[in-house]
Amino acid sequence: MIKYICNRLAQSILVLVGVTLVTFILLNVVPGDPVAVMLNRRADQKTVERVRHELGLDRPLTTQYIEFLTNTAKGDFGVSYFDKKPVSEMLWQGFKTTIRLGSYAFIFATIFGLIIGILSAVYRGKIVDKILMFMSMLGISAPVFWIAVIFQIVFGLYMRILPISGAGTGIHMVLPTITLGLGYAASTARLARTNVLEALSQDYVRTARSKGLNEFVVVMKHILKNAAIPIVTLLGLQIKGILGGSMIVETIFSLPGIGKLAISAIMARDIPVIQATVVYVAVIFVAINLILDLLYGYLDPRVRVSKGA
Amino acid sequence: MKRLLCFVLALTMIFSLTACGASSPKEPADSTNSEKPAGPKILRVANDLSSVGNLDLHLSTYNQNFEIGNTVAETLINKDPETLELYPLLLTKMPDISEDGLTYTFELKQGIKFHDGSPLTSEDVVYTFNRFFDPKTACLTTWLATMIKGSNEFLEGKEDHLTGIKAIDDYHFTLELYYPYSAFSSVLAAAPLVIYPSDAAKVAGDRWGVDTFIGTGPFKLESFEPKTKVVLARNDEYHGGAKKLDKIEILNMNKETALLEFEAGNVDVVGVDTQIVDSYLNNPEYKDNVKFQEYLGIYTLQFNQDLAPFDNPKVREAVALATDRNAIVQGYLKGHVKPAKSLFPPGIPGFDESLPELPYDIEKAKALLAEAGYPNGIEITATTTENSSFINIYQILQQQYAKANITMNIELVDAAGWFDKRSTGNVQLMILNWFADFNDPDNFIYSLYHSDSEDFLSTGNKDPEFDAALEKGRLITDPAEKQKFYADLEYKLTREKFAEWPLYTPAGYYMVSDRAKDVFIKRDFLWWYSDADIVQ
Repeated sequence: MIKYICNRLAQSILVLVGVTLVTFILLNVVPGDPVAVMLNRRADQKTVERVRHELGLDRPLTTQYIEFLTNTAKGDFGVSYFDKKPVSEMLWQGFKTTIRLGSYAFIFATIFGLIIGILSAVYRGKIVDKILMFMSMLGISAPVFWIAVIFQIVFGLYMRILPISGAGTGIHMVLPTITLGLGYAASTARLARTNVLEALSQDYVRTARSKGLNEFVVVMKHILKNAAIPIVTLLGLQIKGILGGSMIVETIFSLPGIGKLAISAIMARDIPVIQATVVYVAVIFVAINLILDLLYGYLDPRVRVSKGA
Repeated sequence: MKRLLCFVLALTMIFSLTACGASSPKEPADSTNSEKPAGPKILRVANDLSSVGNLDLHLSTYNQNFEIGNTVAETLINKDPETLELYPLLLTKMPDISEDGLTYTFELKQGIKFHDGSPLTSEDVVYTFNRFFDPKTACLTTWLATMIKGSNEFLEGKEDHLTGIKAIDDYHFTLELYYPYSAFSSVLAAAPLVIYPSDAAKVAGDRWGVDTFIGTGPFKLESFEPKTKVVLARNDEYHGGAKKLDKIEILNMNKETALLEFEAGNVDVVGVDTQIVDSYLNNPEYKDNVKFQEYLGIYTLQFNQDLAPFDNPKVREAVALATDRNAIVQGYLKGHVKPAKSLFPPGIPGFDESLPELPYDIEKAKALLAEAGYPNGIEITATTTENSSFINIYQILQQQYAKANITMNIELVDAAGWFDKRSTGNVQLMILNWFADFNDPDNFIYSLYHSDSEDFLSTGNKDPEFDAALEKGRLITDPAEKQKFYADLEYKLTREKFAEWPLYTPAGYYMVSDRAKDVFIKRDFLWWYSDADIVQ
């Protein structure tokens, strides 16, 4: 197991270096000069060259990239071209909001989605199943920005029971959490229903019931564990997406998260910030994939045996 | 089953329709999200703070930064918020100017203190101007003040300080210029030229504008969450007398969320796009809250004289004549703005009221194209960004030009790509917008059409004679002479050279809540909060 983890970590470092190299190349190839964006209204050529020099953009690209790699290894992502602040500080501020919103949305999506999926499967064909699956279809189909604005209008403007925007207190996170989590909950529900239905038809379920086990125990202890692997895969994909930040939800609800930080940096070509957010997302992906692989081993002993290490 | 499905679908539709329907009652019910204090007078402003990551005005070119910065810190000379007339703010009087127009002598008011209690002295002014031109600062608006002697040498690293500023004593200092620039007092009122406290700024170093931002202004910084929220608290020691508000909260919101928050009673001040303002003007609940301002600025069609086919003046004239600005103003913009007939808006010296309206003549446009060698029409390309506020106007122009056999392609790029293309002289045609930094024609015509920025703005205007005229204009002090000089120059640029073609002068709407008063957008497009009051 230790050897397996070490191998995966070594692969992860190669992946991160590759991702940063591709990003760096793309940023220097696509049109868009951060100096032109900064200067905005007016400048002469001397001013453009002076600002480029101050930002170090007139140095050779290899020098810039090697400096970025070596500093990143030390946890130093440099200084934002626009805000003149350490990027790690900006990333941390965005991360606090994103992890808060993301955790709530993920927990909501997982619990809500699993409950709906399990209920639908258990009451398959009945009115409960039909209503819940219709709601999940709406959840998947409705665009996030539409859900966000509808929630703001109904709960914030008309009913006045929830804040329309901001990140001040816990209650401010209710609408963004449900908005962000609803689509994920709907996907989880549909997958959970399919997998639970498949598990329900297995012989071990009939055996468990014939032993007199309570239906709740049959579902939660036996069925769920066997239906878990595809659900865990989906949850893993979802958490990667959630922790990457949602620019739409963050913009509409005025939350200063990483999604908005990344998109703003890309639009302005704030290169240090872009590179830092790319590293952040890559680390999230690599870490979640590693955790998922270890989780599969726990859930399915056959995976443990076949992995060998 | 079908009946149940229909019922659920109907409920969903009703739910959506009511949610998108008419606005809510203005007076909120007992609400957990309302922050209307019974005691303190807090003005709540909704604005786009995505560019406000650092409060240092030397590092920004965005109005949102200037609005906040100019409430906390102050310039030596200020503009009256309503008339934009200049008046001495940190000075006892307007500066004395030497006979040759090269030396300005200033006297600071005594007893003015920064928010940390330190007194304002000449040392702070000298420090601030040095910081402004120090290459290490990488200030983005040095172009505003490079008439100050020594600025170019300092910027180029030939000097290690600004030689053109000298402190005589604690309250007197001089500024020397390279040439007698008649609008220099106006320049000193430009938003980025606020005065910083030398000691506090040196101590803060790189964290100036991030952790610390101090000035002499009527409000001091209480808290700053970058790009999210700024809270300003009244400065009770303000040299101009304490203001009425206790605090100003500026909250980051996108436009749509800001309008919802205004309707919910959670913000007091919000901008409203011209395209949707009619829904509020026609609503009895909000029509009295809607305010209007005409800005000191211009929206003009910019031709790149360096790129074919706009290197041919006949082509420029043809496209100009095919532009029906009245249709845009009356149709799409519903008469909320005024058609322009000059690069200078009304209120800027050089604006000539007697000028006839700019012509619109499709047949003459076609004839000019034929003379230029395009009897069967021509293809041109306008470049803009995907979320530009001018997208619809470009499409209207596209349809107008088709009548004159001009095929206009609209190239969409992202914002950074557009800036890149424009700053390297590669945009063939665009709508250029310009708002006054200071109330002088030089800020329009020199800034936009002198050859030292022609590449950056894709004007292609390389005309040594025109440059010489622009430089000569900077020396004119007599108002009548200045008026005629710039009116003639503008006529030549617009109606003879067709370097650009004015479309309309900008105007905008905003809403102020019932509980707030004396808060408005000035003609220079910046919000003015300082004299606001809460009346509830």
